[in-house]
Amino acid sequence: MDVKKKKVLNSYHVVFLVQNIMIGMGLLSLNHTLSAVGYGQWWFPLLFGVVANITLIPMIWISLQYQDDDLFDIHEKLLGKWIGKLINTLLIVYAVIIFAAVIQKYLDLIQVSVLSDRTIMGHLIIFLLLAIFIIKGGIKSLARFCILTFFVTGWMVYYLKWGIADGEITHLLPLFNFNKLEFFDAFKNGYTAMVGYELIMVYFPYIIKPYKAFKHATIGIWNTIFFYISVTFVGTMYFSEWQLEHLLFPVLKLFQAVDLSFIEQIDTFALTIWVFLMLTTVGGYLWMAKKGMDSVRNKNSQFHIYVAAVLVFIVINLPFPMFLAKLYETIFLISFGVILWPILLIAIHSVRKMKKGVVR
Amino acid sequence: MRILPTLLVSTLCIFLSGCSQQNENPSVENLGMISVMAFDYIDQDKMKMSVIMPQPASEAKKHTQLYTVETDLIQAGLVDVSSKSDKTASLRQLRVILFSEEFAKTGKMVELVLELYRDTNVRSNIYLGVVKDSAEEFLIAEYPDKPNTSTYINSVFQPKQYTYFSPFITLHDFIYDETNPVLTAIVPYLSLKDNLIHIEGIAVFKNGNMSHVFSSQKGKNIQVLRGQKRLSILAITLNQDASKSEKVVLEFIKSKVKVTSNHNFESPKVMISLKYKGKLSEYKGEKNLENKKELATLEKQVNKLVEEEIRELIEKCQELSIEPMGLFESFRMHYKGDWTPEQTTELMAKAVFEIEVDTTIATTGILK
Repeated sequence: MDVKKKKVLNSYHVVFLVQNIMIGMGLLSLNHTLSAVGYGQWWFPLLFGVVANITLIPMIWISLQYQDDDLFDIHEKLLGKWIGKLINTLLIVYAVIIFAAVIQKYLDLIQVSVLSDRTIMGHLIIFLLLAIFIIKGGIKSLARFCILTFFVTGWMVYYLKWGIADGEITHLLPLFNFNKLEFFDAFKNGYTAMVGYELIMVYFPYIIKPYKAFKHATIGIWNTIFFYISVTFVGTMYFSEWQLEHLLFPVLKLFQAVDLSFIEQIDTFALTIWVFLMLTTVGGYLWMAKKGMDSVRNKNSQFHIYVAAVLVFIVINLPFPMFLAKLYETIFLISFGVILWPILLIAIHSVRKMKKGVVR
Repeated sequence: MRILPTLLVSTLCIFLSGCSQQNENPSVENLGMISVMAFDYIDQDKMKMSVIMPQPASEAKKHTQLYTVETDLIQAGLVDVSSKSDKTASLRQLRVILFSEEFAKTGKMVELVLELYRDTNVRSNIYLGVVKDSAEEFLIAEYPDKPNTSTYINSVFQPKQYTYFSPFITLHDFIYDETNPVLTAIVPYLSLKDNLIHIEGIAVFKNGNMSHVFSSQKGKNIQVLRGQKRLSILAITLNQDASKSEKVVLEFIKSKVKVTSNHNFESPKVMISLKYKGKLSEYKGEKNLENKKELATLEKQVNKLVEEEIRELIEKCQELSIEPMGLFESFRMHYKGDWTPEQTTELMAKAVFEIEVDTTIATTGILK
């Protein structure tokens, strides 16, 4: 496929890439992560959408200044070769750990609910191979897989119908029944579900129409918000506050309410289909790790995909479960830093521009 | 020449899988799919767990297999059942769980239901029921005119028009009611009469313990106040004491309830407006139904009676300090802070209720 060619991403590719890298494990536990604010959680995705949209502006702006460079190149140009490479290395580590965190969480869930008598090792290897297979085709392959994923999984929103029928619309009020601390807690935990759109800085140089990228990424973000708000809305109606707080994966319980005459256990079905969403999410980060290695080693090589995958495998199999749990928790907080990072880059860019007149 | 190694590897993968150990995962034939579970109380630590699974083999004389074990934990009980039966017991096809009245009254039911809610093999749309006397009896009893026990018990719990007074509470509903501070949980109450299962009414819970059983007529009103739109038949007798008693049966009733409140916590007032619509399917009395005026009088009489019934129900609930109807949701909707069950009880005790019933009889049949 178009591995060698530079500009490969059409407008719809951007929309689906943004949207499907974001949707992943976060959606399964969204009601739970937002439970600090109780029933008030249903409108939170709207807030997230606005915040994501605002934080998207600096990302696109800095990328537009360096249209042919991805985030890693920008680092080297702005911060110098060595500091740039150091930060790029950190970003590789970041991508690998996010990959590991997401996949570990998903495989644990699969083990608990679907394949309770097997260890995760077998699935892990198959999963990694699939992710490698997708990324070997380049970013366009991932984008195409995102489109496929959307059509394979998007229709599951229909299954929320049963939750609406059994739910109480009165739960939507009161809207602001929380204090500052609860709000902050819910925002911090819930916003992890939004992480993923910052990758646009990595695949930006591949976009055919960079000046329209903001618009397309915005559409992607708001598509995600549509799915998120459907789930929080129905979850608020269907569950009591206690359930929101204590159920780790409320979406699965929502799917258990589905009552069809020809098929049972929709939740198992949904959970296995969810693998598509997981693959798109981790695919994005695998691509990021690969590009990072390319830039650090100054060499474009498909081999880096394997290296990244092996690193993920090693991280997951590290014999320090407590450390890993803490690491997975912290990595999403670091991702907030990555989302805000372009603001700093813009500052450096402006300072250098003022000093030199021209940057390049 | 890449195709050769690929072929080789895939062939090996397919054939080598035959060498894997067989006892890893039981196949469908070796699974005993439990369809109904029943729990009886023995003492604080022990319970009697009875399960039935359908017997698919046509050679067997009975189509239901019954196992009873004494256990303290569900999973430990399942291991016991598996060792007794020739199959591995699985909860994946569980449909109905029955609890004995004694079990529900000792507060262990909530604990057990929570345990099942945690289990990912158990669906949350399983129906729950509390039964009079022994729950095991329901599974032991012979139902000669039914295909098999599990199908029968399962179909009793499927909502049907004539049993709409029963709430048909699922695992999720029960947990929802139990953890919702505005509500107290309800569960259908069943008994065994002449080898048939009979839905007698509604068992209401208080602080996790079963506290009272309402009749099916009261159960109907609870359902209406909870917002149930379709109702079973409404059969009422007007002027019960007088010699000229009238009997009215309204069918295919649609109900609409609207609960509003004054949001005043000091002197709470709840306005309940009920709208019934139905067709008159049976009438015993002296009114001429052709006459619009007399029909209107009949409607008014029905209104009054329903209002009295609901008032009686609410008074009973106040007396028992339970709130199975969720009437104070509109208070919670405008309340800032965490709502507690105590607030509901407090409001229930001092609230004033204004009840307004409006019945419309759409048709009176084709006889004059």
